[in-house]
Amino acid sequence: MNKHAISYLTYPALALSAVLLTACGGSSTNIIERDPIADDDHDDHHHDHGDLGGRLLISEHDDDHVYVYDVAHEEVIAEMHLDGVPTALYATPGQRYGVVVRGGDNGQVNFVDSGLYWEDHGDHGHMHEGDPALLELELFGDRPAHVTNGGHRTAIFFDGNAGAPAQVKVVNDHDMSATPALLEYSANQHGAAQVRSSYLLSSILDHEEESTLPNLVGVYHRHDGIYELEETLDVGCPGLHGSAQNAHHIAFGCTDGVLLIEEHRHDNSRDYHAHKISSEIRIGTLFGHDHLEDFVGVGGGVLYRVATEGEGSIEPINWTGEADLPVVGSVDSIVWGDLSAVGYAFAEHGELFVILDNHGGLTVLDTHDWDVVGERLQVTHSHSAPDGLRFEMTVSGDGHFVFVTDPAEQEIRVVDIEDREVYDTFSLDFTPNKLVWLGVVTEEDDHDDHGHDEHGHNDDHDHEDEHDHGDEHDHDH
Amino acid sequence: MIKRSLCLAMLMASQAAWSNEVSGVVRDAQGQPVPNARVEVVGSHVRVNTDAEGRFELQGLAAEGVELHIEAPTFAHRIVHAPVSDGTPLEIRLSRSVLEVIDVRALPWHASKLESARPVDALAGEQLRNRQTSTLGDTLALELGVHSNYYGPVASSPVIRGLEGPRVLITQNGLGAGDASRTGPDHMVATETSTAQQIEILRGPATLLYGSGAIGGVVNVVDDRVPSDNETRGEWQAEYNDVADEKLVSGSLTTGFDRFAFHVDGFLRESNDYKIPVAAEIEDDHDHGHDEQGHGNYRLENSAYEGSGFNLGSSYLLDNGFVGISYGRLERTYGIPGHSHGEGDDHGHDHGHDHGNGQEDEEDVYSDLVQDRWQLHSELTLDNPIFSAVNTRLGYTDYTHKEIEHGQVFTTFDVTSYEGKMDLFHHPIAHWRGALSLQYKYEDYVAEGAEAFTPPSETESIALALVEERHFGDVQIQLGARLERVEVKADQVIVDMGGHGHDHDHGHDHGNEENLLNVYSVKHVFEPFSLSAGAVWDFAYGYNLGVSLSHSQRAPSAAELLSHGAHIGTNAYEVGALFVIHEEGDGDYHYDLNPNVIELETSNNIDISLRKFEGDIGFTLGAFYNQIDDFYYLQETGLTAEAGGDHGHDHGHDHGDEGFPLYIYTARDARLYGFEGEFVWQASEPLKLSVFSDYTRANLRDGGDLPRIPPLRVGGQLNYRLNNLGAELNATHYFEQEKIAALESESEGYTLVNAQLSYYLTAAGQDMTFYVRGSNLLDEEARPHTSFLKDKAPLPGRAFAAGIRATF
Repeated sequence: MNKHAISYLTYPALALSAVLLTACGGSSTNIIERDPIADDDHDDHHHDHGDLGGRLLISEHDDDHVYVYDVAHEEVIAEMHLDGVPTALYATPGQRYGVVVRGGDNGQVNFVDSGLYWEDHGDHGHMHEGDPALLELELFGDRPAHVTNGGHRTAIFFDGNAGAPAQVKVVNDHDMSATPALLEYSANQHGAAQVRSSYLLSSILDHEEESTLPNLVGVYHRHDGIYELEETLDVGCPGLHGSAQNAHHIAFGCTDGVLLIEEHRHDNSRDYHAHKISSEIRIGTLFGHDHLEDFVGVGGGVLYRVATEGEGSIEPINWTGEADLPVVGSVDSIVWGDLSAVGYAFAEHGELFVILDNHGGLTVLDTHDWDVVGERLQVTHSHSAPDGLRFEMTVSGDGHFVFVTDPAEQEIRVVDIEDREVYDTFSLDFTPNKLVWLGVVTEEDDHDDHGHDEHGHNDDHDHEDEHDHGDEHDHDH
Repeated sequence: MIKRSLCLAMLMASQAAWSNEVSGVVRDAQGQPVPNARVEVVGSHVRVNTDAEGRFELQGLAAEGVELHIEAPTFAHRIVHAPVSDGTPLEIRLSRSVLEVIDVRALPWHASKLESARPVDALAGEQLRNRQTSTLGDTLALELGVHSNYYGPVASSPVIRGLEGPRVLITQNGLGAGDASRTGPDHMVATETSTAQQIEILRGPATLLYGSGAIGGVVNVVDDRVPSDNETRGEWQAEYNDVADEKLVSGSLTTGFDRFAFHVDGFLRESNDYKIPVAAEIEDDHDHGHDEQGHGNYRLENSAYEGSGFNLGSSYLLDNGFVGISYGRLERTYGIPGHSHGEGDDHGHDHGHDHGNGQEDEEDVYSDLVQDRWQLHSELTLDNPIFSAVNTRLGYTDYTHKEIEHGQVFTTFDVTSYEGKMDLFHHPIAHWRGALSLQYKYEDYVAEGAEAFTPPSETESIALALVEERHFGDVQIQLGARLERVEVKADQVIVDMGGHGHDHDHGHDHGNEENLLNVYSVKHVFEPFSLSAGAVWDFAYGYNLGVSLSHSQRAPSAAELLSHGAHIGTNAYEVGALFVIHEEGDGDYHYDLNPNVIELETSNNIDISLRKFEGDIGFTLGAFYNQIDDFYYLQETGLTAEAGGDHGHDHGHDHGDEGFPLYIYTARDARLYGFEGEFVWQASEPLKLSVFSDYTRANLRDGGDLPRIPPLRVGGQLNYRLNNLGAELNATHYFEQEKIAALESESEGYTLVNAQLSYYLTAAGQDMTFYVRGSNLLDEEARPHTSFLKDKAPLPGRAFAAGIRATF
C-alpha cells in the first residue's frame, strides 16, 4: 500500500456547516493505491474484428520493383528489385512468403519473406517481426502461369512452350531452402495442378487438337522430390482450365462442366474418385475454401455456384442484380451495364465471397445461400483503372479486411468486410499493380481466405497426413 | 387567460401588511406613452405591463419604497426609485436605444448589458433566429468576445475570451447542460438553439453565480419549457440551407387554461456533408478522399448530422408564483470530421498536431447522443418579513453519447447529473437588496471504450453564495461572495505507470510478459472561494461606466485531474495533473503520482465597460485583465505515447508506433487581457450601421502563448428596414493569429461576409417572415485558429438558405 498526500477530512454530503467551517481556498488529495491488475492487452491495438496488421507485398505498375508495405505502421518498409516486371503475386499457404511471378517465356518466380512469422513453443509462441527479404530461391522456366496452394505447399505450373515441356514445381512453405519437388511433362500445356500432401493432381494433355488446354487429370505421387504418375483419372475434362480444392474435393474446370474429384484417405495413401458435374457452360476459373463444400466457378463472365452434394450442380449466381443496381453513394460516372468482376476472394473464414468489380466496388455474397449481402460498396475513389491496369484486391489473414488498390489515386483502400465499410486508406507514392497480404495467420484466424484466380487452399491441420509417408522428410532436400 | 403577474398584484393588494401601492405612466422622450412596457419591482416577482396609455399600477409593496425596473423593446431599460404611498403617479421617461437591450435572466436580477457591472450579452428574438445554427458555438460566434471552437459544423462550442472547455459553463435555464461537451471538443453541447428563446453570455468569471466551472464565462440557453404563465403564444420555422442540404423545422407553443400552463416545443434537423471552399486538409494537394465530386466541389467528409428533440412542460400557476416541471429529450447523430487515421507517405514521423498528413478516409465515425432532461422550476413570492421571494430549480439529466466507428460502439459516455439551486431573495436591508443562493450538484461520469481517457468519476459540489446590490445616488454597487466545496472521486484509476518509450522497433513480444497496471482510488476535495465587487456609475445622461473586480477560484475538473489516455478529439495523449512524468532520456519515461498539492485555479479579473445607450448613437467599450494563477493547461512534453497505454482501452484504429504526442495538465500562471467594443449608429429611420471588434491576448507569465486563442476580429453590419422589407449585410474580418503555443501553427486571416433579405407579413394572426440568407458569400477558405481541426476542416463555403418563420 502506498499512501500518498494524505490530508483527508470526511464531510457529510450536503453538510453546509462543513463548507462554512473549512478554510477557504483549500484543496486536498487522498490517494489509495490498490492491488495492481494485469494488463491484458498492452500494446495491442486490435480492432474488435481483429488486428489490422501484417504486410502487403505490392508490385509497381510497369516497374521491376516490389514493395513491402507495413500495414500497422502504414509505411513502405522494404523495396526489392527484380529481374523483370512481375505479372502476378501470390502468397504461400502460411502467408509468410510472397510468390512473385514474372510470366512469359523465360519466366521467373521469386519468393519474398515478409519477415513476419510465428515461432511456436508449444504452450506459447512469439510473433517475430523481422525485416523483409528476397529469398535466394528462384525458379526459372517458360510461362509460369497457374499458382495454387494446398496444405503448406505451393504448386507453380510452368506451361512451357513449343520447344520446352511443361513442369510443375512445388515449394514447401515450411522449408523454403529445400529444392522444390518437380513434375516434368513431355510436352507443353496450359495446365493446372493441385497439391494434396504428397500427392499432386495435375492436368494431362492427351489429344491431337491444336489447343494447349489439357483434357485429363492425373494423380501424381512424390518420391525423392519427383512426382510420378500413379493413375490417370477415368473421367475426362476437355478444355481444362482452372482448378481449386477444399477440404474434401478437388475441382477442375472443363468446357462441359466441372470435374469433381473426391479424396479418400487411407492409412498410408489416398485415392481419388472423379465424376463430372455437367453443364453447357464452360467453367474456366474455380475457387474453393476449406470451410465450404461448394466451389465457385466463373465461366463466360458469369459466376456459378458449383454444389458438390450428391451428383452436384452448377447454378448461376446473380451478383449484379437487376438493372436497378443498388448503389452506395452518388457515383454518377458509372455506367452500370458494364459492371464486371475483376477479382474474387473468400473472406471471414469462407462465410463471405467478395467480388471486386471493374469500377472499384465490392459486392459481398453470403456463401450459405449465395445471396448478395447489403449493397455494393464503392471502395475506390476512382471509378475506373487506368489503361493497362485494373483494380486488385487481397484479404488479410484473419479474413476481416480486404485491401483494394486504386492505381489512379495511388492508394490502397482497406475495407472492413464484415461492416462493409472503408476502414482505412494507405497512400502510396507509386502506382500499385498487384498486391498480396502477408503475415502471421494464427490457428483461430484460419488462414484460408485467399482466393486469387487459381488460388485454392487446403488446411494443413486437417488434411496433411505426411507423417504417414516415410518419404516426406528426406525427399524434398 | 390569467396573467400571473396581475393576479399576483391583486393578491398582494389583499394583504394588509403590504398594502402600499405605486402607480404611474411610462412615456418616451417625446412624451408619447409607451404601451406594453414591463414594470417590475426589483428583487421580487411583482410585475405588470403598461396599458395602451402607458399606465401601470402596482400594489402590495414594501413601505419604505421600491426600485422599479422598466423595460420596453427598443428602449433603454431604466431603474427608478419609487417612494410609496404619496399617491402621486410617477412619470417615467424611457429613451430609445440603438443597442440591443435584452434582459439577461441568468442574473439574480434581470438586467441588460447596459445595466450590469459585469459584461453580459443576450441573443434573442429575430437576431437569435438569424444567427442560429446547428451548434451553440457557431450560433454565438459573432457575439462580442465569443468565438466558436469549430469542431466541424457538428460539435462547435463557444470560446469566451479565449477560454473554453471546463472553464466555460453551459447551462440550460440556469442548470448545468449535463453533457460531455466539456471533456472534448468533438462532443456536442446538448442544447438546441432553434427552440431556445434566448441565449445569454456572461463574459469573464461568473463563478459567483454558477460555481467554479464558470471561471471563463457562462452561456445560458433559455427556453420556455417550464412556462411561467399561460398566455397563448408560439412560433414555428422551416429552413433549407444548400451548403449541406440542411433542413430544419421547429416550433413551440405555450398555452393553458385556468391555473394550468402547458408548453411543447420540438425540432427536426438534418444535413449532408458540408460544402467547403477548398480541400479539407490544409496540405492536401492530391484531393484524395475529400473530393468526391470532382475539382472545386469539396465536401467535408463525415460532417453530416441529424437531430431531433422535444420538450414538454407544464406549470401550475399559484397566486404567488408558479411551479412547473418539464421533460425534454434530445437526440443527435453526427459525424466526427477529421477523425482520420490514414497516412500519407510521411512514414509516421510527424508527431505534431497534424498526426501525419492522413487522408480523410473514414466514412463512418460518428457520435450518437441521447439526452433526457427533467427540470422543475418554481418562482414564488413569499409572505415573510425577511425573505421576499424564492426561486427554485431542480434538474436531472441522463446523457448517453456513443462514438461509433464502422458500426461498432467504441466509446460510450454516460453522464448522470442532479442539480438543485435555490435563490432566496430578502427584503431590502439598509437599502441593500440581495439573495442567498444554495446550490448542490452531483455528476456521475462514466466513459467506457476506446476514447475513455478519463476514468469513471463522481463530482459532487455544494455551494453557498450571497449577492447584494445597492444604489448610492448615481452609483450602483454590486457585491458577491461564494463558498463552495467540490469533491472529485474516482475509485478505479487504472494506469500503466511503468516505463514507456519511443520504442520504434517494439515487436508484439509482450505476449508472455505480464505487465501490471497500477490501480488507485482517488479523492480530491477542493474549497474554492470567490468574491466580486462591481459598480455602475451613471456619470452623464445616457452614459454609464461599469467596473467589476472579481477573485474567483476553480476546482480542476475530473478530466484535468485524472485523464490518462489517448484523446482522439484533440489528437493528444492527455495525462491529468494527478500524475507527473519522469523522463529517462532517449524519449523514455515513466509516470509517478504528483507529489505536489493540486492547487485551485485562481483568477483575479478586472473588467471596465463604458456605454452610451441613448440617442441615435450608442456604443459599449470594454477592456479586461484576467490574471489566472495555477491555470491548468495541457503542456506539451515532446514525448510520444501509444494509444494502448491506457490499460486496454484500445482504440479501433491502429496508430502503430506513431503514437500520440504526450501532453500533461500543468498548472502555470497565465494572464489574459483584451477588449471588446461595438458602435451602433442609427443613420436614418430605416438604416442602422454598426461595427464591432474584440481581441484577447493570452500567455503564460513565464513565457509562451496559450493555444487556440482567437485572433483580433473586426466586423461591420448594415441593417435596413423599410415597411415590410428588411436587409442585413455583415462582414467580419478575422486577422491572422501569430501568437501561438508550442506545436501549434499560425493561422491565416480571413473575411466572412453574410447577407440576408427578409419580408415581413402579418397573416392569419401570425407575424410571418420570409427570408433568404447567404453566408460566406466570398466562399472564403476560413480556418479558425480556435479549432482543433483547423488544418482538417475549414468553415463551410458559400451557402444560401431560405426559410419562413412565424410567431403568434
